[in-house]
Amino acid sequence: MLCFVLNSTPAPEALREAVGASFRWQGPRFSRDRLTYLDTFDGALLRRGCSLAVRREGRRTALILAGPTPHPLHLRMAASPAFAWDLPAGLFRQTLSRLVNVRRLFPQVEVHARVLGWDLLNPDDKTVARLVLRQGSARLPPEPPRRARPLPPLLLVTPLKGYEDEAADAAEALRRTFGLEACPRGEAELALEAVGKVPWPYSSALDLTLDPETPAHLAVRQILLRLFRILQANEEGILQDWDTEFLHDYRVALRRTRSAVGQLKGVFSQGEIRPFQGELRWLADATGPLRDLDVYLLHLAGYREELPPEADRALEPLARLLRARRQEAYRALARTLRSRRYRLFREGWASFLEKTHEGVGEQGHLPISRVAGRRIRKAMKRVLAAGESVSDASPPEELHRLRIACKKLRYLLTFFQSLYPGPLVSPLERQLRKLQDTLGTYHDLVGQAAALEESARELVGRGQAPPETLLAMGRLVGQLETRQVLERKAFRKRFRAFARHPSRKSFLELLDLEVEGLRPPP
Amino acid sequence: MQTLAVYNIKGGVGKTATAVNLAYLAARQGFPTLIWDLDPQGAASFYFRVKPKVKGGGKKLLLGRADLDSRIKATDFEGLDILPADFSYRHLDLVLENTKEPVRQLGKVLAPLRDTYDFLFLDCAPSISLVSESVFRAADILLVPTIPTPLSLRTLLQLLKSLKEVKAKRLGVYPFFCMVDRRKALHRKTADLVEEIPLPFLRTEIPYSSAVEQMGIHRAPVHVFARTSPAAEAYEALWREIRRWMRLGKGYFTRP
Ligand SMILES: Nc1ncnc2c1ncn2[C@@H]1O[C@H](COP(=O)(O)OP(=O)(O)O)[C@@H](O)[C@H]1O
Ligand SMILES: [Mg+2]
Repeated sequence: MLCFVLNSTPAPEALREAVGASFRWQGPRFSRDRLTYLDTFDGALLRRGCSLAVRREGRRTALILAGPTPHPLHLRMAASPAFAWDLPAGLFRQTLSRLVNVRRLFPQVEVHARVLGWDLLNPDDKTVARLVLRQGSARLPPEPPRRARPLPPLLLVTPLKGYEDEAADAAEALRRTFGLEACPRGEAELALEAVGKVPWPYSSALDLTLDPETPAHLAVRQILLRLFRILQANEEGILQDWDTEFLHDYRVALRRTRSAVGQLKGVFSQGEIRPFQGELRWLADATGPLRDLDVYLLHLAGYREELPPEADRALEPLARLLRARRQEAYRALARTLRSRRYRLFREGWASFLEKTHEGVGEQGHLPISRVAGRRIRKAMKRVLAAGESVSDASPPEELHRLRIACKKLRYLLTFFQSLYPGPLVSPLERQLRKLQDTLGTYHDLVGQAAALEESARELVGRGQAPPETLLAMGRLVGQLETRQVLERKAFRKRFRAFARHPSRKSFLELLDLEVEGLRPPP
Repeated sequence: MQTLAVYNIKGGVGKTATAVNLAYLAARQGFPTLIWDLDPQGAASFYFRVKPKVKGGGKKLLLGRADLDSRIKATDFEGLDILPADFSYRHLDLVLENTKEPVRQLGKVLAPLRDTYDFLFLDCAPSISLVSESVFRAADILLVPTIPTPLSLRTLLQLLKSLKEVKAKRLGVYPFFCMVDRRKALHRKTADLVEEIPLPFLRTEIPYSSAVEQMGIHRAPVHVFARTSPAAEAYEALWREIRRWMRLGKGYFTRP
């Protein structure tokens, strides 16, 4: 679809004249359109140039997903969905799921438009392209109509599959006549701009650019401050229980924070940083149970979708147990996040991070590139040593240790990648991420199997476990074990890919130079 | 993707009308849908005002030597595409004969569409041939419009017999009555003969209706110009019933 942004509304006759006599025109059809554009908290759709619009049509709702497929997808529903899984199974859901995963969809901006539409027909009276002129206004969803801001008129040329040439001809004629440029942004983005909203204000990415000469304590504070913003950004979503990713992102930022503090503690004075380490651990413990239950429930939902209805029903007692436990875990976490202790931690941590002179440790005044280089070198050697010693016979704990070593290295690379040449670090980070995904999945599978066995005992203890339920759970454990074996096999391959990657060796050499203070000129 | 073939050994029984109207309804519900007009006469293409012509002809398409996607055309209706007919489809039998696994060839060609459409309707040409055998193998569901006359029931029995011979174990066979005229004694009587057919008919019947005949004048699915006609309502009921059976994962299978 081609979108032209106009300065003023052209007369319909002018449009018709511009496109010329090669088509028969049908229209204009006049309509009023009320659209709400949806997106996730992290802008999963708009960020990728996609949009999901909900159009109210009387008592029903039409969904339009534009961007991921060559032609927009349409779906009619009774109500606007909150999650991709609210949609009926099919391509629309599949396509949307791939973009938004488990994230909740929030209304972002509302557009009311007066729409004039024409069909361009060929000599067989077959529609070969559509032309739409939209004059709209935008407002934030809760605002009253009087707050609506006008949008520039938009002229859209929509090709029909198999008739792209005709649409291109029409678009070309319009461009020539009116001197237009096609606009890469769609209506959703223009509408957000009109109401003064940043299309995707939140990202969990840690995209920082550090100066290699910055004193280490300041650079680390910069990293920690960014992580702290991510923690804060996710608090409301956790408390409102909007979707499971808020807690997930929160936990990732928390782990990164702990890893940075733990691995780089020499840059701060011990006395000042230690109390925070205690509080960070407290938060990790407080957020763990809810996240674990989220993971089980998501896994269970995925598993149940593949089951025949009888087996699916048999798992309902387990789902009920997990949901009840999740509810408890949620309440406990909400209490924690609303507690005085948490408030004090937040205030103390923020003020520590904003300081520029106090709390500096013995390594704090070294340039960050030195400190980072040393740490990365050490972490890398540890991963290699731990990986070589893992065999097919190693117990899960050994893999777990390797996983922790990988995690530490990966975090360091994430924090400090801006200090190194991208072509060297990016492939390593990618290999490491794959390796870590394998190990992480393996770890989850082991944990889930254990948790299932425990739940089985609990259900039996409460007398809530008919034989079908236990059998279904047994099958589920079996499936988890099969996958464990697969992940272990995958691990060996991935570890080799990482350890033998040419960049890995060059990177170590670079670090050696740097740590000895012999960094070559860039 | 679910593949629904509309098939009958006989011509003029309402196959094309069924394929066109059901495909329209599926797309209207928001399911990306494709209809492949396999009949060289191109009736379905005609109803959608699309030229009955495929670049390079049917042979290339069936041998997997042509990009299927680039031959597909959008109809005037959101979410409904068509792969048009082509006069060369007359010789599809010969094309299949020269492939390694003739009855599997169609399924192979259709595989890439799986991620683009929720439903694929095959509007088949009448006759029993290598093409129809391939259709039985490639489809999930075989819709068999049947006019309620004793002769049609015999044809249906013939079809069921030949289905036993081809290996299409997972094919759900859904016969239903169409062009039903309750005023005709013959139609009323035939409905009683249904007992002899070893598998049940869908409950919905499509009545004989002038609205369906007018599809040729309007060149559009019946819902577009006669939304409230009995035929339009019957097709909706038929689609609901088919969907229900599909959702339950149960069809009326060729083997009990
Ligand atoms: N339910 C119906 N009532 C009246 N006429 C019908 C009905 N269904 C089909 N027809 C007409 O019968 C003729 C053959 O129908 P068609 O769908 O093309 O059959 P087929 O594809 O089996 O050859 C067409 O002219 C069509 O308009
Ligand atoms: Mg036909």
